[in-house]
Amino acid sequence: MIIMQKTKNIREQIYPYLISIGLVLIMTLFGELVKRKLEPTNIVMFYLLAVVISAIRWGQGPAIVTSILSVLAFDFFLVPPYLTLSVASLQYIFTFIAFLIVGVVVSTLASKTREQLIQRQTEKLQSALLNSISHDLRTPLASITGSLTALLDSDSGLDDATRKELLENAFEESARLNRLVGNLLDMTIMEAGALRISRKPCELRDVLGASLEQLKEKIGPRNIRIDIPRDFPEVPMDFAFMMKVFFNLIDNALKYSSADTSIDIKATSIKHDVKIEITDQGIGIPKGDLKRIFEKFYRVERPQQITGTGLGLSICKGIIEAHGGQITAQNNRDRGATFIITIPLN
Amino acid sequence: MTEKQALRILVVDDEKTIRSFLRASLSAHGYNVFESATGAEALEKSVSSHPDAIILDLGLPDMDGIEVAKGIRKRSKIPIIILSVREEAMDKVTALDAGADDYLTKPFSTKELLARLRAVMRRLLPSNKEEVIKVGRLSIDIANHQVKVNEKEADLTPTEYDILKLLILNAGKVLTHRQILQEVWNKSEDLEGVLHLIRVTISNLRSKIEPNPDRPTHILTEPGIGYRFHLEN
Repeated sequence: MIIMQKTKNIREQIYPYLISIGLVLIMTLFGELVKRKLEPTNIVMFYLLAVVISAIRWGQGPAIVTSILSVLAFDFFLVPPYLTLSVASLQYIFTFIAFLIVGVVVSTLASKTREQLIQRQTEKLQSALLNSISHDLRTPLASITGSLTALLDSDSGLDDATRKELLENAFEESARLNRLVGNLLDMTIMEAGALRISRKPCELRDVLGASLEQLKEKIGPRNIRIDIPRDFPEVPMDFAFMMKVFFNLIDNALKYSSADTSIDIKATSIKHDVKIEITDQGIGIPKGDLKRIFEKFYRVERPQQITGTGLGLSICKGIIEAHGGQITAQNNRDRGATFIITIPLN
Repeated sequence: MTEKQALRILVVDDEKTIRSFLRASLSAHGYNVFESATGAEALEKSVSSHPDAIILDLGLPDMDGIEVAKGIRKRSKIPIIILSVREEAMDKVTALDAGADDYLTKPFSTKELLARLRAVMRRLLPSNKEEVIKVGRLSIDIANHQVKVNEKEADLTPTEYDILKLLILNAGKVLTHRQILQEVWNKSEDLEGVLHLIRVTISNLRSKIEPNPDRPTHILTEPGIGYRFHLEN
């Protein structure tokens, strides 16, 4: 059992501190350049700038680290006697203390503003998400309710063909609703960091085959070309979750390309990774959307008949990352798009 | 009670399954149904297919349904019923102020839609605007400014009469507070400040014409939005 790794988070947490140290270094170099022309107490202003930048950008913690480092660097490099922490004149002690106080106050104020901003953005995002979910849940429900109430309406005298159409409507939309609820559930589990995948060596052919079987009706007579080398290794992956990934990607490829084009699935193994490419000859992905398509609820401008939850690709991304792999998308040179998955073999 | 004179209905929704059950249900009740999946097409068909009413979804792929409603209202008074998943009072008020006649939240039953449709269509019938309108025990003589309840003349103030007349001439349609204020008091600004004026007048009006003013059957409140005059029994 592998629980979604937190290493990425830790890297994200350390990063602001490293940048803050970098900022102090830059200010010190700058101070070195001008220290013969400017009073040291003026050079302090540069350091204050570094504190403000890191407070606005990353919040209080990095800002306070920047303040303390600034005082130390200032004392060591820019206050005579140089290259020592001892201080020639007592007035610098006051400068240090004043700087520290100002640094803490500024960082508190700036980080508070920043938190408020983030909170406002989060609230906005949450309400947009809620609107999107409520729209996606209600639309199939409206079709189901409408179709069934039309059938129940005893005055209507619907003919058999229409009755059948309405029943099929209700059935299709129930399936759509079920998919959406399943996706939302997956998403929630992923958000909570509780996605548990169990990697066992699998034949890629089997996983792909199972996904294609589920998509049988949608595929119909369409041509799907699969290219997997004979010596392709077994890949450690979670069968059920990877099936979802291929289901979503092939389903997308089918949706966004016309019926007379084929879909290519190609697998290669490179050293410690396997690479799986799914290529369609459809309408491709608008340039600006290439990165954003993996965000949840993000949808590209698309032809009106194409429906979707805006969750499929972000779920794919979550699953692939839980496997320690990566998923990217690119447009083909001629037409259509390719989704590329890499999964480590170890 | 179906109207079998083949009235033409334009259904505007980008969801195929929604159009399909609306078509089935409306055709079965004798309406002639036209469809469009986009706002641009709806604006075009609202002219070319001469609809008698439009059922309009707000979430269209190419433009907001509100803009479509405004576009149609610029040239025509045909009834518009809005369909939407948005259920906040603000959204309804915006749609009604844009000229829509009624607003139905998805999901809805076809029975409800048919009832609303009949209500807004009734305004189209060669109406008795100059004659006497009778609703249950209520009769309103528009030409003579006379309202009778159980054959007895009701003593309405001019404002009460104006509101009643406005509601009855728009029977079935939801009138927003802003629209009532505009029509009856000729005011459009400071809605919050004069909202109580409408409430008090409506309350007095109800006590004069409703059999049970606490449970009105003619003048119905649409919470947060406005009022609607109910004709059907």
